[in-house]
Amino acid sequence: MGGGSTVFGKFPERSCEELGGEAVLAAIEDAGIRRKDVQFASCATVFGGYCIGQRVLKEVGITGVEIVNVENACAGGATAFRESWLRVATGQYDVAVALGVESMTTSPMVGKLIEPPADDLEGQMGLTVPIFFALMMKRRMHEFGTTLQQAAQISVKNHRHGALNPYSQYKKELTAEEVLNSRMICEPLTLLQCCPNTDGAAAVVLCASHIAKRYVSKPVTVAASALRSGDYLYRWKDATFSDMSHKAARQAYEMAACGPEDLDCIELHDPFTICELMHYEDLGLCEKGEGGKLIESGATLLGGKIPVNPSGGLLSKGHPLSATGVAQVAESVWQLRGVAGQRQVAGARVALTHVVGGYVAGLESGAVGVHIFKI
Amino acid sequence: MSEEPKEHIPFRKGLFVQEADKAYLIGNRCKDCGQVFFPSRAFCFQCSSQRMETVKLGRRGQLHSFTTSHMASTHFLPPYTVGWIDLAEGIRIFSPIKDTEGQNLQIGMEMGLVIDELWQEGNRRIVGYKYRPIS
Repeated sequence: MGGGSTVFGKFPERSCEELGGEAVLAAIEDAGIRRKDVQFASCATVFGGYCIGQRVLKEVGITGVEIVNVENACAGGATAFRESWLRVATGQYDVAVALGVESMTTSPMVGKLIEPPADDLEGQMGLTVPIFFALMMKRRMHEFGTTLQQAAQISVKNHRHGALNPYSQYKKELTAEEVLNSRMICEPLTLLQCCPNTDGAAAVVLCASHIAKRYVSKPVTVAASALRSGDYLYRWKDATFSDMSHKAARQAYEMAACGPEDLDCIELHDPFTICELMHYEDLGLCEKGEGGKLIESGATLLGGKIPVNPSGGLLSKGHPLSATGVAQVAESVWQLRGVAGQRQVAGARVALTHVVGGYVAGLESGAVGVHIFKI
Repeated sequence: MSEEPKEHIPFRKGLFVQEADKAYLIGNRCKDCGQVFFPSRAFCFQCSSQRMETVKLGRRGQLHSFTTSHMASTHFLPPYTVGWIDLAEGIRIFSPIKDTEGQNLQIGMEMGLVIDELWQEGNRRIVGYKYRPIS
């Protein structure tokens, strides 16, 4: 298995085909396979348009193979990865590529608000994604005494990690004061507690275990794959906890026959600072309500007991929607192979990725994907 | 400068009702398991029963959480305040919060339903529901 990624950032002059092609070629080179070995590809995009996989792959000499294009909002990358994994794991194909690509700056979305669908009652009444998470954060502050400082520390940590990652959109460390004093978006979430708009692509190569050693000496194994949709909001009583993430993680731990205590590094969904605090708890890294204490302890910083988002996460590395889930997998592959450079988690053997996607009226969220990797 | 009185248009039909001085939301309840829905559903998502009855609800609730957005959304200019309200009928809904005139919002405070203008479209006032603290 190998991974490839473009640098994340704002590249209005670069097309989805160009971004995607760069990521695929990098992943193919990293995995040591030949282009003609690729038998299947799945590709995720939200704004990249139709036949995105074909449009990218024809630019890098891959044609005449089965290509499936998927969309699952921000969880699209995890969905594409799972799709390729299923094809290989069930023996249909030996070598597959999973790709996520997004160009936000050339999309119809650039500089615009996301228009809620006409039948989305809450969206019409003013609900936005930042509001949703600001409401959760306010509630957490009320129930658990989560502090603004603790939330700011998430952004400080992830920007510190991102500064070490050549693929990151932002390579600049921040102080908690800078985070808290940045422009107010939705009280108490400030601008530097929210992920940016990002262009980028990421790709990974998967192959059947019986031939993996032909290509790489230390192949990474997919130990678990879980993807599920969110439940009705009327059943989601606890707005300080991601029920769907908790359930997907439990499913993944069971499949991988491991628990949160066995993880060495994690890439999790941090579009807002509050999300990372909450996911510490629903992924089982700490008890409910203890997320604030976990970030304060330094355990999730590089060099800590369980580094979270060593890549910089969505907050610093950036969030090209569909590319994010694949980029998390590529990062995990590099971490487990020990080739993650300055952001390397020493001796990492088990990694988890987690991504949530899609505001859907009446549901907690559209989809959540959790994957566990071992070496 | 007086203008012609503007036409009042409900934001959506069948979602709320103003009776004399009392406002209600309109939802439905499953006659078999008792689950309440707002807005109304064609059948019970909880137990799949089709025996649903229309209910008036939402006159009172408690503030579960709130925020002020400093970003615009489709119909609202910043800043605007919104929240989650835990209704007495046992469900939580999202709602705009009516100008609180300096009254500090606090989680857990008692809230009451009002029918009020949400936004204007040309000559029409689009009305819908909001909550405000009950002093």
